[in-house]
Amino acid sequence: MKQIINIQEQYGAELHTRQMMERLAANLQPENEYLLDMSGVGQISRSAADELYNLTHSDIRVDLINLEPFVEKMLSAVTKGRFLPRQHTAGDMPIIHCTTISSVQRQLMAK
Amino acid sequence: MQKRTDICSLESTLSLFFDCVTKHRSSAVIAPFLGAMTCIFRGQTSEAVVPFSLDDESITKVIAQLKENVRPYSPDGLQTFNMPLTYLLDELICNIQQHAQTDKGYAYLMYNKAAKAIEIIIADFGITIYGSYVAAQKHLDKLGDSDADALNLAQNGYSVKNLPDTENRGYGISSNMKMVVEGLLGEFAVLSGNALLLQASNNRKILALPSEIDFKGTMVMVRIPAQVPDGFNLYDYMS
Repeated sequence: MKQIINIQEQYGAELHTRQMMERLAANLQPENEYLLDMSGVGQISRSAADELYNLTHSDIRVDLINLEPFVEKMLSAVTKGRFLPRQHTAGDMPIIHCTTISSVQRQLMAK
Repeated sequence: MQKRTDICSLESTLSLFFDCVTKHRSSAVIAPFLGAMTCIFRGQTSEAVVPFSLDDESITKVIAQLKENVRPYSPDGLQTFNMPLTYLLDELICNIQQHAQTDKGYAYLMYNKAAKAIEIIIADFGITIYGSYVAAQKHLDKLGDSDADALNLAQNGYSVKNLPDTENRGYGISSNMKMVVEGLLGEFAVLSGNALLLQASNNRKILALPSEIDFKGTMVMVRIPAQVPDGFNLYDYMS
């Protein structure tokens, strides 16, 4: 039988850090099956979502249920990020060498 | 989309900031955002500058505290701002946790009534962005030998991580900048070592600073109009 873990009760409505999800993973046993109930978790950081992805793709049998829209979007973004090639679309920024404080100030004021 | 709010520019604040830190002026008489930047630069704390540890509990607490600082001033009690603000704070604080090799960060988040803007600083006294590339031995061929080159790599998505254990997207600076500048019509700056990255609507550049400016760490400064623009969608910036 799958064991249900209420994530909001244990970790709160906002999951901020990778370490939070690592702690969760450390408490799960490979011989068991788990349902992670994500109801009430409205916010997850990219790092925490990335670690949650690791957990759902590990030896531990874990399913996520009751995902809030933001959490679902973040997990989807992280999953895509795993498979897409690295993108460097921002392009280089101009680098301006300033030798004096007044030249810095001129650069800051230049439009 | 709404027209960009005419707020006091981050450039002018930074100009005053450099004047302050090089001429050792007192920060007591200057504007709060500038005062907070100057305090952090000098390794001091103030009522508004909150030091935090990098454990889960402290991070959760500081993010909640920072949001409470601005909630009373948000037109809808932070309802529309909560997600983008939390997303931004998560990204900036997680960067310290993952890359800076330090055990503490500094945070400032206040509402500037005159500018009708939210002002955020997340800073650390860690190994700088340049130092994190060197420590990870990543992209050394592109890195050059300066903080400015490192900032350029970071803003262009060059990661210090290695697949397959983590998503390989780097600091997330470029997506955060895009969200702040294009989505929320704000301004974004990063001071790391002796380089300053500045991204505003009309100004996008990296300054290699003179030797008298050398911040032993990384300080991210953000100024965002308090009203979320019509049509803003956080999901557009999460890819």
